Amino acid sequence: MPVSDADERSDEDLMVSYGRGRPDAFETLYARHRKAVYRYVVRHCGNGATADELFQDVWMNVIRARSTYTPTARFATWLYTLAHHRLVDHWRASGLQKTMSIDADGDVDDMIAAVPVPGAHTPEHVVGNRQLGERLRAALACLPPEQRDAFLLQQESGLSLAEIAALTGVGVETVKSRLRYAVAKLRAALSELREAFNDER
Amino acid sequence: MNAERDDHDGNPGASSRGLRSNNGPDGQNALRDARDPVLQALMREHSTETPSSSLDAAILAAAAQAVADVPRERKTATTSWRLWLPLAAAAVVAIVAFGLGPLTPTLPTDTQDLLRDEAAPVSPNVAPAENRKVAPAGDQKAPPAENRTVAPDQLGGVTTPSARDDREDRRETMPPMRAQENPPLARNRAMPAPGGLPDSPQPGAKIAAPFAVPPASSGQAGAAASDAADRAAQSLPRSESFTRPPSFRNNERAAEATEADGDLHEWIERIRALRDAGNVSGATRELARFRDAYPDADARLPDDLREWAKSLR
Repeated sequence: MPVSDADERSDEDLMVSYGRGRPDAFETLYARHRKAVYRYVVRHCGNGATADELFQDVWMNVIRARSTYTPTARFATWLYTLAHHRLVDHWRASGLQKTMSIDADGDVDDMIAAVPVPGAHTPEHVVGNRQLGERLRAALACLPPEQRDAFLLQQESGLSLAEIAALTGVGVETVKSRLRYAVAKLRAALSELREAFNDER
Repeated sequence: MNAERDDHDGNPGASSRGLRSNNGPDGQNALRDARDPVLQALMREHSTETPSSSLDAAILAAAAQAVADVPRERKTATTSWRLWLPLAAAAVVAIVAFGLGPLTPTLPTDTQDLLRDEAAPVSPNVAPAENRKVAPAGDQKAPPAENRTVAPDQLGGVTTPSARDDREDRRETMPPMRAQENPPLARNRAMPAPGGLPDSPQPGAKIAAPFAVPPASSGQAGAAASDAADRAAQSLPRSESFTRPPSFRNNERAAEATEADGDLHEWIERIRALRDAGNVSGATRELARFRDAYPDADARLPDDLREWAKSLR
């Protein structure tokens, strides 16, 4: 992505400027958010092709809404709302949407355990091993969607609890619970990796 | 690209530009509870997913295309309006011409009514003689209102059938008398003056002289008649005033007034000639007709005839 972000304008100003016909403002805006949004999408669906399609749809929605955009809230909130809604649509269309309890652990531990752990605690095997990343993604994928969504929104977008709550349509306390559950499960699932990671440090 | 928000620091989005999130103390505590530094470090280490360059190019191209299409769309809209505007104008004109045309037959009807009113015959209740009254020379009084309204021909109007009839009616009254009286007049001229009247060396001149209206009096009569006609014209409806030019109207009125004035003098001279010729019965008959024609006939008579007319009453 060759676009540099030398523009000091806020996201909202850039979006308004793009709505007035300045494509360079969109390039700056896209450069700021492209990776985070992409990770948010790809860690939800796991499939690269599907993630590309959803990612493109999110940004096309941004492009279409350029003339009606009003900066009543943070641009990031609006952007991740679009991404969240697109994911929900995708889940509905593919029949993947299911109501899961925040206590529904399922076979998360078993699934994570199925991912091969690096054989040694050597740094090259802990840090550089591709399997580590796969195990992390597997652990994320095994989280209930609501918990994963809350966790990824917190990790990638930097939204506040209130913003995440408004975006997902639940209360702030629910978001907190989801986050706590998600973190606890990931800790447990990745305990071996955590130890290796700590040893490496 | 250090500006991108993929650096997994403690709170990646909170330090970003733009509007600040309003994390209160409770929110911060909750986030602290739900945040694991080691987990975040692991996430950061393995955040290698990025959109492909082709995907970036496609999105940026779409964004640029969307902005570039706006002026083209506006231009297309303007062009289409330019094409449709003359057609719309033509349609409006056609609708006005063919749609509203049948709804306005009142205009020709009104015009016909106006013309009919102008050509309407004089009310039969009013005597033609009264209608014919024109302000005589020296009579500065305006004609009565009823006469003014019913005598358009006196105002120099278009010669309508009623006006023509009126004039012919007047000539029917007078020329027969001329036809009857002129031969005796001519005979009288040839005969010696009865009753010891001195024979005029130029009898024709004696008779003809009164007929020659002095230019001054004729001018006064014409002016008076013209004034009366103007006053009457002011009382007429505006539409009639518009039908003829004022100068033409005034000239015609003046000519008619002069003609009526000439008839009056001719009549008076005829009475005098009959009386002077000793034809008292003829003069009396003629005087009676004169009185019938003019209610103020005695006032119009010259002094000598007025005294004589008083004795006949």
